[in-house]
Amino acid sequence: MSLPVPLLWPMASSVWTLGAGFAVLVTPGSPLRPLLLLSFLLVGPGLALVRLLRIGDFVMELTLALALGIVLATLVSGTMAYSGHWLPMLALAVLMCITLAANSVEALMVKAARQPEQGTTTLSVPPEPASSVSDPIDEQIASLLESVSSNR
Amino acid sequence: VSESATSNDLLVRPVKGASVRPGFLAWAWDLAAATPGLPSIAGLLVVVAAVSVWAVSLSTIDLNAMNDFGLISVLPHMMLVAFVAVIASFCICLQSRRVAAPVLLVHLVALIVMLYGIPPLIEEVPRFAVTWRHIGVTEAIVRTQEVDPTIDAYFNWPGFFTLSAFAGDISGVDPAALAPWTPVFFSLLYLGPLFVLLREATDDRRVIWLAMLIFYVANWIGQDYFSPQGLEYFLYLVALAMIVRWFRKTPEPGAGVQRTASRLARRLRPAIERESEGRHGRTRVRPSPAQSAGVMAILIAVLATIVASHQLTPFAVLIAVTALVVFKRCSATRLPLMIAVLIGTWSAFMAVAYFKGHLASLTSNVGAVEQNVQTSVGGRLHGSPDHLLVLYARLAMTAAVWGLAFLGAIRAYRHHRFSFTYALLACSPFALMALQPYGGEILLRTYLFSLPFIALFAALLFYAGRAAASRSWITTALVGVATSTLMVGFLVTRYGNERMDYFTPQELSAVRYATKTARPGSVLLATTSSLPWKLERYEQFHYKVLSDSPGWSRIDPVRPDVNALVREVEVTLRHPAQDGYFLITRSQEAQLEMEGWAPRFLAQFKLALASSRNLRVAYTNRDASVFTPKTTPASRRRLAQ
Repeated sequence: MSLPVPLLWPMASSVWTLGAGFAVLVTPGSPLRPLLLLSFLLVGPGLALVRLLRIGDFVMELTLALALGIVLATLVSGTMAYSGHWLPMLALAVLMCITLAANSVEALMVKAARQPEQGTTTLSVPPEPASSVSDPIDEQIASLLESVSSNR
Repeated sequence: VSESATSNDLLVRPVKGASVRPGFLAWAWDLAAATPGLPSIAGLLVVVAAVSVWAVSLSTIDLNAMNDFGLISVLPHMMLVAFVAVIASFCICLQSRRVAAPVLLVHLVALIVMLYGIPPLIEEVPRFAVTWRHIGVTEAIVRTQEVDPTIDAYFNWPGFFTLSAFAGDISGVDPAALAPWTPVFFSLLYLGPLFVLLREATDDRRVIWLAMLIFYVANWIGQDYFSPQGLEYFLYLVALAMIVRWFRKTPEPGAGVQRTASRLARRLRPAIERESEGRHGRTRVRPSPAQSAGVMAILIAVLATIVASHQLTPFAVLIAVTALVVFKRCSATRLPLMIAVLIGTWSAFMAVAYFKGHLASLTSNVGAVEQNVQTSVGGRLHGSPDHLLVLYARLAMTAAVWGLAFLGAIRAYRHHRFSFTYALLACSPFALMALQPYGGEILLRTYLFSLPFIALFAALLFYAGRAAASRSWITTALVGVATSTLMVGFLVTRYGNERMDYFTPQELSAVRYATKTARPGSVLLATTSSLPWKLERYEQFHYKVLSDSPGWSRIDPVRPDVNALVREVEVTLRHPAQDGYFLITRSQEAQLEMEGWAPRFLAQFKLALASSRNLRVAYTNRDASVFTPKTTPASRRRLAQ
């Protein structure tokens, strides 16, 4: 089962991501900043990436999203600390870019998945498997073809 | 329990016409649909009432009245009634014909907050000395903006600390403000992977939810504080959940070691295969290469993060995965090699500074199982009568949970519900005991790593039989009594050291005075390690503890020679800069009394220090005193140089 609006999650995630960036850059003293930033670091990048796998299991998806969020934040912070270039804003920007890129890919995947469906609806007769001959008219056509081929 | 998944069953996609894995909306709908029912509504009302009683009771707790029995000695009776009410309601909900998962989840979350959330709500500053040390390591990384592996072990496995530093820096939150709530946060974090692990073991919802309850009321180890092991335990659960979810397989006759190893598994197979019903009968679709690669990439990233963040957890994962591969329960046969390479690479390149000075001590106990266990058990069994009771309660609690699991495994086997895979995961952490004593904690860590799996078998003890028996009132009563007893045991064992683990703002003020005043290179000295220090300028001081000195063991705890200790303090503080600080706090006094030292010993020690010709009181308040050497013309000259 999919969401009624398949693009809802990528859009919401992108707004959340930009909100986290906004909280740091524009309103650093806002009480919403810790909430937005910590929730984004924990869930945002991980969930955006995990959704691309289409696991289809909410609990597993959320668990992997939390784990991947922790892994990515550890990776960028470790890179900063070991390189001696402690640039938290840059690290946040990297995580935001990963999230937005993953959201874009998901949106493209949703769009691509919709196109074949639209294509099939334009066909007057949906294609049937060769073995499923159940309609009486089809059976008559089939027997006719058989008789023609046997006459030959 | 299913052992039938193959490596091809990597991912499950929704199949047209089959209700397989719902998306979020369907999941939410299932939650709502499963909720109605009288037991559910009554259960929710009980939870609301119990949480209210618990919240009101919090204000009546007097920490100053606590004795060596720990926090339970000052907990109001109504609070215990509230805990029992939630557990009883949980057990009654389990008895329902249709087990309502959302209602059980509400019970469990409420119980986690009630059990793990007491200290942050009644204590003014974060508890536990090591929490402050970890806050100090985080502060050092933010301040120096780098990781210096020469400082100590923490800077050789810094994953958790760089993450905390980054999160604190970017969100503007002081880690000390979040630290008290980490046990609640980590416990909630464990819910997801724990549920997946148990769900992969059985379709029986009663077993799943009871195992989760047992996990939380039996987790007395207390490693979920602001620490690398607390976070890495989550990743440990995630890694194992991914492996049993996507890389589990049925053993087939192999060759060599694997054939020998899987012989036992094949003998057990008749008892195992009957479990393969329900969930694992669902339609599974071969995953795309991209999906397979994605899952494997996440697993490798999780394992790499564990390796970079903690010393022991990677070995726990390595042993567990190796056991699964040897017994042909894991299709990713190269995973143990990969984990070993990750550990080796990190040790050889990133932690070489630590290994240079500690390799001999790290490897000296390898294989000495008896000695390692003795350090974890015998080395800890001393102290005041009340504290000894707590220590014996810990042993009894551990033995009781393992005993329940053992009986549960036998009952599960007799009812064809035994899982060889989960038995391997429950037993594999015992191999850690052969590595090293881990500071006398190896038995505790072994228990922690095996807890999710022994909780499963303990739950199977009650619900392995027929469905009708599982729903009987006798079973429900037995489950209620067992889990309530474990809950009381949890309060005794987990918070048994609370008298020395909690700190007052006055103690913190004294430590802050010393760390702000002392010059870089100074000695900061304390009688024992139970104080909130190392929180600032972590790398700039020499931290020393009198109880670690060679002369300490020669002092009689009943009639201690305080003058000898004063002389040792004077000598230690003079070196190297003559402006060191000696800190005496309430929590150290509590620790010494709990360990069997004469009551008021530290008060006498403090008087002797105050009357010393070479020391002066630099700072004092109700709960702490700070002593420093008196400055002389000679010392002033040395400081000026």
